[in-house]
Amino acid sequence: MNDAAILELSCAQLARAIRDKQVSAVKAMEVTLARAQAVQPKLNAFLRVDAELALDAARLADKDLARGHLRGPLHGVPMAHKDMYYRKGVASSYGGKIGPARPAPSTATALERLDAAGAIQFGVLNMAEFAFGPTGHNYHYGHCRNAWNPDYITGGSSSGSGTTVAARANFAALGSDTGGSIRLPATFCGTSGIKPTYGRVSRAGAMPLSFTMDSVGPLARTVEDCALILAAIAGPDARDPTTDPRPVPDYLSAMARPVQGLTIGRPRQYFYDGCDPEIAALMDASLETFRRIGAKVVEVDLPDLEAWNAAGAMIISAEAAALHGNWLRTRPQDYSAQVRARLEPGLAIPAAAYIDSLRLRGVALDAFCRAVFSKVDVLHAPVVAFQTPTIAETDVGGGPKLPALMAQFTRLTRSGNFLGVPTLSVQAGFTKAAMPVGMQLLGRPFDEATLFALGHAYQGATDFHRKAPLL
Amino acid sequence: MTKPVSPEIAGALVSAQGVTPTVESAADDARFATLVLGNSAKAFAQLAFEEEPSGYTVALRKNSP
Repeated sequence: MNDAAILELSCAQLARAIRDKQVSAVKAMEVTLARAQAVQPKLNAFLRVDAELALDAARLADKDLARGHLRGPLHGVPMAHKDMYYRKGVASSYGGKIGPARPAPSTATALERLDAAGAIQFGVLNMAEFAFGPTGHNYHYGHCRNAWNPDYITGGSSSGSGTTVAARANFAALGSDTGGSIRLPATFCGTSGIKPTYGRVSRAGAMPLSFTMDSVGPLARTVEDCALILAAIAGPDARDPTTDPRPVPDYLSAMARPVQGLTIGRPRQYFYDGCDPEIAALMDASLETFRRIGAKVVEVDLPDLEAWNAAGAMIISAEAAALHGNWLRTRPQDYSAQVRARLEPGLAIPAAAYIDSLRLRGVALDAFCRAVFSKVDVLHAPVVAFQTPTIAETDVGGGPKLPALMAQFTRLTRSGNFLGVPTLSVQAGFTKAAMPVGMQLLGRPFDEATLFALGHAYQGATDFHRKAPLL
Repeated sequence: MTKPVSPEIAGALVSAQGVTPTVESAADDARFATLVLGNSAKAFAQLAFEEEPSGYTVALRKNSP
Protein backbone atom coordinates (compact mmCIF):
# COMPACT_ATOMS: atom_id res chain seq x y z
CA MET A 1 0.00 0.00 0.00
CA ASN A 2 1.47 3.38 -0.96
CA ASP A 3 1.70 6.37 1.39
CA ALA A 4 -1.24 8.25 -0.10
CA ALA A 5 -3.45 5.17 0.15
CA ILE A 6 -2.53 4.72 3.82
CA LEU A 7 -3.49 8.31 4.58
CA GLU A 8 -6.88 7.82 2.94
CA LEU A 9 -7.79 4.95 5.28
CA SER A 10 -10.24 5.47 8.11
CA CYS A 11 -9.20 4.48 11.63
CA ALA A 12 -11.16 1.26 11.30
CA GLN A 13 -9.52 0.43 7.97
CA LEU A 14 -6.03 1.32 9.16
CA ALA A 15 -6.44 -0.73 12.36
CA ARG A 16 -7.53 -3.67 10.20
CA ALA A 17 -4.57 -3.20 7.84
CA ILE A 18 -2.14 -3.11 10.76
CA ARG A 19 -3.80 -6.14 12.38
CA ASP A 20 -3.56 -8.03 9.06
CA LYS A 21 0.07 -6.89 8.70
CA GLN A 22 -0.59 -5.14 5.39
CA VAL A 23 0.81 -1.96 6.96
CA SER A 24 3.13 -1.68 9.94
CA ALA A 25 2.43 0.73 12.77
CA VAL A 26 5.82 2.31 12.05
CA LYS A 27 4.92 2.87 8.40
CA ALA A 28 1.55 4.35 9.35
CA MET A 29 3.28 6.69 11.79
CA GLU A 30 5.99 7.70 9.32
CA VAL A 31 3.52 8.71 6.62
CA THR A 32 1.34 10.54 9.15
CA LEU A 33 4.31 12.49 10.52
CA ALA A 34 5.39 13.40 7.00
CA ARG A 35 1.89 14.56 6.13
CA ALA A 36 1.65 16.56 9.37
CA GLN A 37 4.92 18.28 8.58
CA ALA A 38 3.78 19.03 5.03
CA VAL A 39 0.45 20.63 5.96
CA GLN A 40 1.58 22.51 9.07
CA PRO A 41 2.82 25.65 7.25
CA LYS A 42 -0.58 26.00 5.58
CA LEU A 43 -2.85 25.05 8.49
CA ASN A 44 -0.98 25.95 11.69
CA ALA A 45 -2.82 23.06 13.29
CA PHE A 46 -0.18 21.29 15.38
CA LEU A 47 1.13 22.87 18.58
CA ARG A 48 3.61 20.06 19.12
CA VAL A 49 4.61 16.89 17.30
CA ASP A 50 6.41 14.21 19.29
CA ALA A 51 7.91 12.37 16.33
CA GLU A 52 10.56 10.29 18.09
CA LEU A 53 8.31 9.26 20.97
CA ALA A 54 5.57 8.32 18.52
CA LEU A 55 7.92 6.28 16.34
CA ASP A 56 9.24 4.48 19.44
CA ALA A 57 5.68 3.69 20.45
CA ALA A 58 4.91 2.46 16.92
CA ARG A 59 7.94 0.15 17.00
CA LEU A 60 6.69 -1.32 20.28
CA ALA A 61 3.23 -1.76 18.75
CA ASP A 62 4.73 -3.71 15.85
CA LYS A 63 6.75 -5.86 18.25
CA ASP A 64 3.62 -6.58 20.29
CA LEU A 65 1.76 -7.60 17.17
CA ALA A 66 4.63 -9.81 16.04
CA ARG A 67 4.37 -11.57 19.42
CA GLY A 68 0.66 -12.04 18.86
CA HIS A 69 -0.45 -9.34 21.29
CA LEU A 70 -3.14 -7.08 19.87
CA ARG A 71 -3.61 -4.19 22.31
CA GLY A 72 -7.09 -3.28 21.16
CA PRO A 73 -9.27 -2.15 18.26
CA LEU A 74 -7.07 0.89 17.53
CA HIS A 75 -3.72 -0.92 17.62
CA GLY A 76 -1.12 1.30 15.98
CA VAL A 77 -3.47 4.07 14.79
CA PRO A 78 -1.76 7.51 14.97
CA MET A 79 -3.75 10.29 16.62
CA ALA A 80 -3.11 13.84 17.80
CA HIS A 81 -5.52 15.57 20.17
CA LYS A 82 -6.71 19.00 21.22
CA ASP A 83 -4.09 20.37 23.62
CA MET A 84 -6.26 20.20 26.72
CA TYR A 85 -6.02 16.50 27.60
CA TYR A 86 -3.48 15.88 30.36
CA ARG A 87 -0.65 13.47 29.75
CA LYS A 88 1.30 12.59 32.88
CA GLY A 89 4.57 14.51 32.98
CA VAL A 90 3.57 16.90 30.17
CA ALA A 91 2.19 20.46 30.43
CA SER A 92 -0.83 21.23 28.24
CA SER A 93 -1.14 24.71 26.75
CA TYR A 94 -4.97 24.92 26.70
CA GLY A 95 -4.37 27.10 23.66
CA GLY A 96 -3.41 29.96 25.96
CA LYS A 97 -0.48 31.58 27.68
CA ILE A 98 -1.87 31.09 31.17
CA GLY A 99 -2.19 27.67 32.65
CA PRO A 100 -0.39 25.26 34.85
CA ALA A 101 3.18 25.30 33.60
CA ARG A 102 3.77 22.21 35.73
CA PRO A 103 3.65 18.79 34.14
CA ALA A 104 0.31 17.05 34.61
CA PRO A 105 0.26 14.69 37.60
CA SER A 106 -1.84 12.09 35.79
CA THR A 107 -3.17 11.23 32.34
CA ALA A 108 -6.70 12.04 31.21
CA THR A 109 -9.02 9.04 31.37
CA ALA A 110 -9.92 9.45 27.69
CA LEU A 111 -6.24 9.29 26.73
CA GLU A 112 -5.63 6.30 29.01
CA ARG A 113 -8.48 4.48 27.32
CA LEU A 114 -7.24 5.33 23.82
CA ASP A 115 -3.78 4.10 24.87
CA ALA A 116 -5.34 0.87 26.12
CA ALA A 117 -7.18 0.49 22.81
CA GLY A 118 -3.81 0.70 21.03
CA ALA A 119 -3.92 4.23 19.58
CA ILE A 120 -0.62 6.12 19.51
CA GLN A 121 -0.60 9.85 20.24
CA PHE A 122 1.90 11.73 18.10
CA GLY A 123 1.17 15.35 18.98
CA VAL A 124 -1.14 18.03 20.30
CA LEU A 125 -3.35 20.38 18.33
CA ASN A 126 -4.18 24.03 18.10
CA MET A 127 -7.43 25.07 19.74
CA ALA A 128 -9.31 28.17 20.76
CA GLU A 129 -7.76 29.73 23.86
CA PHE A 130 -9.20 27.81 26.84
CA ALA A 131 -11.69 26.23 24.40
CA PHE A 132 -13.66 29.47 24.63
CA GLY A 133 -14.15 30.53 21.02
CA PRO A 134 -16.22 29.19 18.12
CA THR A 135 -14.06 30.20 15.12
CA GLY A 136 -10.55 28.73 15.42
CA HIS A 137 -8.81 32.05 15.96
CA ASN A 138 -5.90 31.91 18.38
CA TYR A 139 -4.00 35.11 19.12
CA HIS A 140 -1.24 33.32 21.06
CA TYR A 141 -0.30 30.50 18.70
CA GLY A 142 -1.70 31.84 15.43
CA HIS A 143 -5.04 31.15 13.83
CA CYS A 144 -5.78 27.61 12.74
CA ARG A 145 -6.72 27.32 9.06
CA ASN A 146 -9.27 25.27 7.19
CA ALA A 147 -7.85 22.44 5.06
CA TRP A 148 -10.47 23.13 2.36
CA ASN A 149 -9.35 26.72 2.01
CA PRO A 150 -6.81 28.23 4.42
CA ASP A 151 -8.48 31.64 4.16
CA TYR A 152 -11.54 30.24 5.92
CA ILE A 153 -12.10 29.46 9.59
CA THR A 154 -11.94 25.92 10.92
CA GLY A 155 -14.60 26.51 13.53
CA GLY A 156 -13.77 26.03 17.17
CA SER A 157 -12.91 25.41 19.68
CA SER A 158 -11.51 22.06 18.47
CA SER A 159 -9.93 23.78 15.48
CA GLY A 160 -6.83 21.63 15.03
CA SER A 161 -8.90 18.48 15.54
CA GLY A 162 -11.18 19.34 12.63
CA THR A 163 -8.63 20.53 10.13
CA THR A 164 -5.96 17.84 10.69
CA VAL A 165 -8.49 15.04 10.32
CA ALA A 166 -9.86 16.64 7.15
CA ALA A 167 -6.33 17.17 5.79
CA ARG A 168 -5.46 13.46 6.20
CA ALA A 169 -2.73 14.50 8.62
CA ASN A 170 -4.41 12.77 11.56
CA PHE A 171 -6.67 9.72 11.67
CA ALA A 172 -8.88 11.03 14.47
CA ALA A 173 -8.71 13.54 17.29
CA LEU A 174 -10.31 14.18 20.62
CA GLY A 175 -12.19 17.44 20.76
CA SER A 176 -14.40 18.85 23.46
CA ASP A 177 -17.85 20.37 23.18
CA THR A 178 -19.31 22.88 25.63
CA GLY A 179 -21.49 24.86 23.23
CA GLY A 180 -20.68 23.27 19.86
CA SER A 181 -16.90 22.88 19.85
CA ILE A 182 -16.90 19.42 18.26
CA ARG A 183 -19.80 19.96 15.86
CA LEU A 184 -18.67 23.36 14.56
CA PRO A 185 -15.20 22.27 13.36
CA ALA A 186 -16.70 19.01 12.14
CA THR A 187 -19.13 20.86 9.89
CA PHE A 188 -16.72 23.59 8.73
CA CYS A 189 -13.90 21.11 8.06
CA GLY A 190 -16.01 18.27 6.67
CA THR A 191 -15.52 15.54 9.27
CA SER A 192 -17.81 13.49 11.45
CA GLY A 193 -17.95 14.19 15.17
CA ILE A 194 -19.92 13.02 18.18
CA LYS A 195 -20.81 15.05 21.25
CA PRO A 196 -21.87 12.23 23.55
CA THR A 197 -24.55 12.31 26.23
CA TYR A 198 -23.46 14.24 29.31
CA GLY A 199 -21.92 11.63 31.61
CA ARG A 200 -21.13 9.12 28.85
CA VAL A 201 -17.40 9.98 28.70
CA SER A 202 -15.19 10.89 31.64
CA ARG A 203 -13.95 14.46 31.83
CA ALA A 204 -11.16 13.51 34.26
CA GLY A 205 -7.91 15.04 33.10
CA ALA A 206 -9.59 17.25 30.52
CA MET A 207 -9.29 21.02 30.92
CA PRO A 208 -12.62 22.27 32.29
CA LEU A 209 -14.52 25.17 30.78
CA SER A 210 -17.99 24.55 32.18
CA PHE A 211 -18.31 21.37 34.21
CA THR A 212 -22.07 21.27 33.65
CA MET A 213 -21.84 21.52 29.87
CA ASP A 214 -18.45 20.02 28.88
CA SER A 215 -18.43 16.84 26.79
CA VAL A 216 -15.47 14.84 25.54
CA GLY A 217 -15.72 13.24 22.11
CA PRO A 218 -13.92 12.47 18.85
CA LEU A 219 -13.76 14.02 15.40
CA ALA A 220 -13.01 11.49 12.69
CA ARG A 221 -13.50 10.96 8.98
CA THR A 222 -16.36 8.50 9.32
CA VAL A 223 -19.24 7.77 11.65
CA GLU A 224 -17.84 4.27 12.06
CA ASP A 225 -14.61 5.77 13.44
CA CYS A 226 -16.60 7.93 15.85
CA ALA A 227 -18.37 4.79 17.08
CA LEU A 228 -15.10 2.91 17.38
CA ILE A 229 -13.46 5.69 19.38
CA LEU A 230 -16.48 6.40 21.56
CA ALA A 231 -16.65 2.69 22.42
CA ALA A 232 -13.05 2.93 23.58
CA ILE A 233 -13.38 6.05 25.74
CA ALA A 234 -16.95 5.82 27.10
CA GLY A 235 -18.09 4.37 30.39
CA PRO A 236 -18.06 4.99 34.11
CA ASP A 237 -14.95 6.40 35.74
CA ALA A 238 -14.30 6.74 39.46
CA ARG A 239 -12.25 9.87 38.67
CA ASP A 240 -15.32 11.65 37.28
CA PRO A 241 -18.38 11.25 39.51
CA THR A 242 -20.66 12.69 36.82
CA THR A 243 -20.11 9.65 34.59
CA ASP A 244 -23.09 7.37 34.26
CA PRO A 245 -22.72 3.85 35.67
CA ARG A 246 -24.49 2.00 32.87
CA PRO A 247 -22.39 -0.23 30.62
CA VAL A 248 -21.37 0.98 27.17
CA PRO A 249 -23.36 -0.64 24.34
CA ASP A 250 -21.65 -2.36 21.44
CA TYR A 251 -21.78 0.65 19.13
CA LEU A 252 -20.26 -1.13 16.15
CA SER A 253 -22.89 -3.87 16.19
CA ALA A 254 -25.65 -1.34 16.79
CA MET A 255 -24.34 0.76 13.93
CA ALA A 256 -24.98 -2.06 11.50
CA ARG A 257 -28.67 -2.27 12.34
CA PRO A 258 -31.10 -1.46 9.52
CA VAL A 259 -32.50 2.06 9.51
CA GLN A 260 -35.78 1.07 7.89
CA GLY A 261 -38.53 2.02 10.29
CA LEU A 262 -36.55 4.72 12.08
CA THR A 263 -38.19 8.13 12.07
CA ILE A 264 -36.29 11.40 11.65
CA GLY A 265 -37.74 14.72 12.73
CA ARG A 266 -37.28 17.97 10.83
CA PRO A 267 -37.85 20.89 13.20
CA ARG A 268 -40.63 23.32 12.29
CA GLN A 269 -39.19 26.05 14.52
CA TYR A 270 -35.93 27.72 15.33
CA PHE A 271 -33.27 25.75 13.42
CA TYR A 272 -34.18 27.13 9.99
CA ASP A 273 -34.83 30.73 11.07
CA GLY A 274 -32.73 32.87 8.71
CA CYS A 275 -30.98 29.80 7.33
CA ASP A 276 -28.79 30.27 4.25
CA PRO A 277 -30.68 28.79 1.26
CA GLU A 278 -27.73 26.62 0.19
CA ILE A 279 -27.46 25.14 3.69
CA ALA A 280 -31.22 24.55 3.82
CA ALA A 281 -31.10 22.85 0.41
CA LEU A 282 -28.28 20.56 1.55
CA MET A 283 -30.26 19.68 4.67
CA ASP A 284 -33.29 18.83 2.53
CA ALA A 285 -31.10 16.73 0.24
CA SER A 286 -29.75 14.81 3.22
CA LEU A 287 -33.29 14.15 4.43
CA GLU A 288 -34.14 12.88 0.96
CA THR A 289 -31.19 10.48 1.21
CA PHE A 290 -32.48 9.26 4.55
CA ARG A 291 -35.88 8.65 2.95
CA ARG A 292 -34.23 6.75 0.12
CA ILE A 293 -32.43 4.40 2.52
CA GLY A 294 -35.63 3.60 4.33
CA ALA A 295 -36.05 6.10 7.15
CA LYS A 296 -39.24 8.08 7.57
CA VAL A 297 -39.06 11.87 7.82
CA VAL A 298 -41.71 13.94 9.60
CA GLU A 299 -41.90 17.52 10.86
CA VAL A 300 -41.88 18.15 14.62
CA ASP A 301 -42.71 21.12 16.82
CA LEU A 302 -40.12 22.20 19.37
CA PRO A 303 -40.41 23.90 22.75
CA ASP A 304 -38.82 27.32 23.40
CA LEU A 305 -35.13 26.83 22.63
CA GLU A 306 -34.38 30.55 23.02
CA ALA A 307 -34.90 30.31 26.80
CA TRP A 308 -32.77 27.17 27.02
CA ASN A 309 -29.98 28.77 25.03
CA ALA A 310 -30.04 31.73 27.41
CA ALA A 311 -29.88 29.40 30.42
CA GLY A 312 -27.06 27.46 28.79
CA ALA A 313 -25.16 30.67 28.13
CA MET A 314 -25.52 31.68 31.78
CA ILE A 315 -24.21 28.31 32.97
CA ILE A 316 -21.19 28.41 30.66
CA SER A 317 -20.42 32.04 31.48
CA ALA A 318 -20.79 31.74 35.23
CA GLU A 319 -18.81 28.50 35.50
CA ALA A 320 -16.05 29.69 33.18
CA ALA A 321 -15.78 32.98 35.09
CA ALA A 322 -15.53 31.09 38.37
CA LEU A 323 -12.83 28.76 37.02
CA HIS A 324 -10.87 31.68 35.59
CA GLY A 325 -11.53 34.11 38.47
CA ASN A 326 -8.04 34.00 39.94
CA TRP A 327 -6.33 34.53 36.61
CA LEU A 328 -8.80 37.27 35.62
CA ARG A 329 -7.82 39.08 38.81
CA THR A 330 -4.07 38.49 38.69
CA ARG A 331 -3.13 38.02 35.01
CA PRO A 332 -5.80 39.69 32.87
CA GLN A 333 -3.17 40.91 30.41
CA ASP A 334 -2.24 37.31 29.57
CA TYR A 335 -5.60 36.56 27.99
CA SER A 336 -6.38 37.63 24.46
CA ALA A 337 -8.80 40.55 24.50
CA GLN A 338 -11.49 38.36 22.89
CA VAL A 339 -11.37 35.60 25.49
CA ARG A 340 -11.17 38.03 28.39
CA ALA A 341 -14.27 39.71 26.97
CA ARG A 342 -16.05 36.35 26.83
CA LEU A 343 -15.09 35.46 30.42
CA GLU A 344 -15.94 38.75 32.13
CA PRO A 345 -19.75 38.69 31.64
CA GLY A 346 -19.98 35.58 33.78
CA LEU A 347 -19.05 37.71 36.78
CA ALA A 348 -22.20 39.77 36.26
CA ILE A 349 -24.63 36.84 36.27
CA PRO A 350 -26.69 36.74 39.50
CA ALA A 351 -26.27 33.53 41.50
CA ALA A 352 -30.03 32.96 41.57
CA ALA A 353 -30.18 33.09 37.76
CA TYR A 354 -27.33 30.60 37.49
CA ILE A 355 -29.14 28.25 39.90
CA ASP A 356 -32.43 28.73 38.04
CA SER A 357 -30.58 27.74 34.86
CA LEU A 358 -29.51 24.51 36.54
CA ARG A 359 -33.04 23.94 37.89
CA LEU A 360 -34.45 24.42 34.39
CA ARG A 361 -32.21 21.77 32.84
CA GLY A 362 -34.17 18.69 33.90
CA VAL A 363 -37.51 20.32 33.12
CA ALA A 364 -36.22 21.27 29.68
CA LEU A 365 -34.91 17.79 28.96
CA ASP A 366 -38.26 16.25 29.91
CA ALA A 367 -40.09 18.76 27.69
CA PHE A 368 -37.72 18.21 24.76
CA CYS A 369 -37.98 14.41 24.96
CA ARG A 370 -41.77 14.63 25.20
CA ALA A 371 -42.01 16.95 22.22
CA VAL A 372 -39.48 15.21 20.02
CA PHE A 373 -38.85 11.63 21.00
CA SER A 374 -42.50 10.71 21.49
CA LYS A 375 -42.77 11.22 17.71
CA VAL A 376 -39.35 10.53 16.20
CA ASP A 377 -36.15 8.61 16.91
CA VAL A 378 -33.79 11.49 16.14
CA LEU A 379 -33.98 15.19 15.36
CA HIS A 380 -32.17 16.35 12.20
CA ALA A 381 -30.94 19.95 11.87
CA PRO A 382 -28.20 22.13 10.44
CA VAL A 383 -25.19 22.76 12.69
CA VAL A 384 -25.00 26.39 11.61
CA ALA A 385 -27.38 28.47 9.53
CA PHE A 386 -24.68 30.34 7.59
CA GLN A 387 -21.87 29.51 5.19
CA THR A 388 -18.29 29.23 6.42
CA PRO A 389 -16.88 32.72 6.97
CA THR A 390 -13.29 33.68 6.30
CA ILE A 391 -10.75 34.23 9.05
CA ALA A 392 -10.68 37.94 8.18
CA GLU A 393 -14.47 38.31 8.38
CA THR A 394 -14.48 36.90 11.90
CA ASP A 395 -11.32 38.60 13.14
CA VAL A 396 -11.00 41.79 15.16
CA GLY A 397 -12.21 44.59 12.93
CA GLY A 398 -14.22 42.14 10.85
CA GLY A 399 -16.79 44.79 10.07
CA PRO A 400 -20.20 45.92 11.26
CA LYS A 401 -21.81 42.51 10.73
CA LEU A 402 -19.34 40.75 13.04
CA PRO A 403 -21.24 40.96 16.37
CA ALA A 404 -24.40 39.56 14.80
CA LEU A 405 -22.45 36.79 13.07
CA MET A 406 -20.61 35.81 16.27
CA ALA A 407 -23.94 35.53 18.09
CA GLN A 408 -25.08 33.00 15.49
CA PHE A 409 -22.22 30.53 15.87
CA THR A 410 -23.52 28.41 18.74
CA ARG A 411 -27.21 29.23 18.34
CA LEU A 412 -28.04 25.80 16.89
CA THR A 413 -25.62 23.76 18.98
CA ARG A 414 -25.73 25.09 22.55
CA SER A 415 -29.13 23.58 23.36
CA GLY A 416 -27.60 20.12 22.79
CA ASN A 417 -25.17 20.84 25.63
CA PHE A 418 -27.83 22.35 27.86
CA LEU A 419 -30.01 19.27 27.38
CA GLY A 420 -26.99 16.97 27.46
CA VAL A 421 -28.35 14.82 24.63
CA PRO A 422 -26.00 13.03 22.22
CA THR A 423 -25.47 14.83 18.94
CA LEU A 424 -23.72 13.47 15.88
CA SER A 425 -22.36 15.77 13.18
CA VAL A 426 -22.12 14.23 9.71
CA GLN A 427 -20.88 15.59 6.38
CA ALA A 428 -23.87 16.63 4.25
CA GLY A 429 -22.31 18.12 1.13
CA PHE A 430 -20.56 21.19 -0.18
CA THR A 431 -21.53 24.75 -0.95
CA LYS A 432 -20.92 26.41 -4.31
CA ALA A 433 -17.80 27.88 -2.69
CA ALA A 434 -16.57 24.26 -2.29
CA MET A 435 -16.72 24.38 1.50
CA PRO A 436 -18.15 21.44 3.45
CA VAL A 437 -21.44 21.56 5.32
CA GLY A 438 -22.58 19.29 8.12
CA MET A 439 -25.88 18.22 9.61
CA GLN A 440 -26.50 17.25 13.22
CA LEU A 441 -28.60 14.38 14.53
CA LEU A 442 -29.82 14.74 18.12
CA GLY A 443 -30.84 11.60 20.00
CA ARG A 444 -32.34 10.44 23.26
CA PRO A 445 -29.98 10.49 26.25
CA PHE A 446 -27.51 7.57 26.00
CA ASP A 447 -28.83 6.55 22.58
CA GLU A 448 -25.68 7.26 20.60
CA ALA A 449 -26.24 3.87 18.94
CA THR A 450 -29.24 5.07 16.91
CA LEU A 451 -27.31 8.14 15.77
CA PHE A 452 -24.44 5.92 14.63
CA ALA A 453 -26.83 3.59 12.77
CA LEU A 454 -28.36 6.47 10.84
CA GLY A 455 -25.07 8.28 10.24
CA HIS A 456 -23.33 5.12 9.07
CA ALA A 457 -26.18 4.20 6.73
CA TYR A 458 -26.13 7.76 5.34
CA GLN A 459 -22.39 7.52 4.66
CA GLY A 460 -23.02 4.20 2.94
CA ALA A 461 -25.30 6.05 0.52
CA THR A 462 -23.15 9.16 0.01
CA ASP A 463 -19.49 9.95 -0.59
CA PHE A 464 -19.04 13.37 1.03
CA HIS A 465 -16.92 11.81 3.78
CA ARG A 466 -14.54 10.33 1.22
CA LYS A 467 -13.70 13.65 -0.40
CA ALA A 468 -10.38 15.11 0.68
CA PRO A 469 -9.19 18.69 0.37
CA LEU A 470 -6.46 19.48 -2.14
CA LEU A 471 -3.63 20.96 -0.13
CA MET B 1 -40.93 41.52 33.08
CA THR B 2 -37.21 42.12 33.52
CA LYS B 3 -35.42 45.44 33.34
CA PRO B 4 -32.12 46.13 31.59
CA VAL B 5 -28.94 45.70 33.60
CA SER B 6 -27.04 48.98 33.53
CA PRO B 7 -23.33 49.08 32.66
CA GLU B 8 -22.74 50.71 36.05
CA ILE B 9 -24.28 47.77 37.92
CA ALA B 10 -22.52 45.18 35.75
CA GLY B 11 -19.21 47.00 36.14
CA ALA B 12 -19.71 47.29 39.91
CA LEU B 13 -20.36 43.54 40.20
CA VAL B 14 -17.26 42.74 38.19
CA SER B 15 -15.15 45.19 40.21
CA ALA B 16 -16.50 43.80 43.48
CA GLN B 17 -14.96 40.47 42.53
CA GLY B 18 -11.55 41.99 41.98
CA VAL B 19 -11.60 42.18 38.20
CA THR B 20 -11.17 45.54 36.52
CA PRO B 21 -13.67 46.20 33.74
CA THR B 22 -13.29 48.83 31.06
CA VAL B 23 -16.13 51.12 30.05
CA GLU B 24 -16.64 48.97 26.96
CA SER B 25 -16.47 45.65 28.77
CA ALA B 26 -18.93 46.79 31.44
CA ALA B 27 -21.33 47.78 28.66
CA ASP B 28 -20.87 44.35 27.03
CA ASP B 29 -21.38 42.59 30.39
CA ALA B 30 -24.60 44.55 30.90
CA ARG B 31 -25.88 43.73 27.41
CA PHE B 32 -25.17 40.03 27.94
CA ALA B 33 -26.88 39.94 31.34
CA THR B 34 -29.90 41.84 30.01
CA LEU B 35 -30.25 39.48 27.06
CA VAL B 36 -29.96 36.17 28.92
CA LEU B 37 -32.01 37.26 31.92
CA GLY B 38 -34.72 38.56 29.59
CA ASN B 39 -34.80 35.46 27.41
CA SER B 40 -34.96 33.07 30.35
CA ALA B 41 -37.33 34.98 32.65
CA LYS B 42 -40.54 33.29 31.50
CA ALA B 43 -39.07 29.80 31.76
CA PHE B 44 -37.68 30.52 35.22
CA ALA B 45 -41.05 31.87 36.35
CA GLN B 46 -42.67 28.56 35.42
CA LEU B 47 -40.28 26.43 37.48
CA ALA B 48 -41.95 24.50 40.29
CA PHE B 49 -41.04 25.62 43.81
CA GLU B 50 -39.45 22.25 44.57
CA GLU B 51 -37.44 21.96 41.36
CA GLU B 52 -33.73 21.51 42.00
CA PRO B 53 -30.64 20.92 39.84
CA SER B 54 -30.55 17.19 40.62
CA GLY B 55 -33.77 16.88 38.63
CA TYR B 56 -31.53 16.88 35.58
CA THR B 57 -29.89 13.57 36.45
CA VAL B 58 -33.31 12.03 37.00
CA ALA B 59 -34.52 13.35 33.63
CA LEU B 60 -31.39 12.07 31.89
CA ARG B 61 -31.93 8.54 33.13
CA LYS B 62 -35.71 8.59 32.76
CA ASN B 63 -35.55 9.61 29.09
CA SER B 64 -32.88 7.17 28.00
CA PRO B 65 -34.02 4.13 25.97
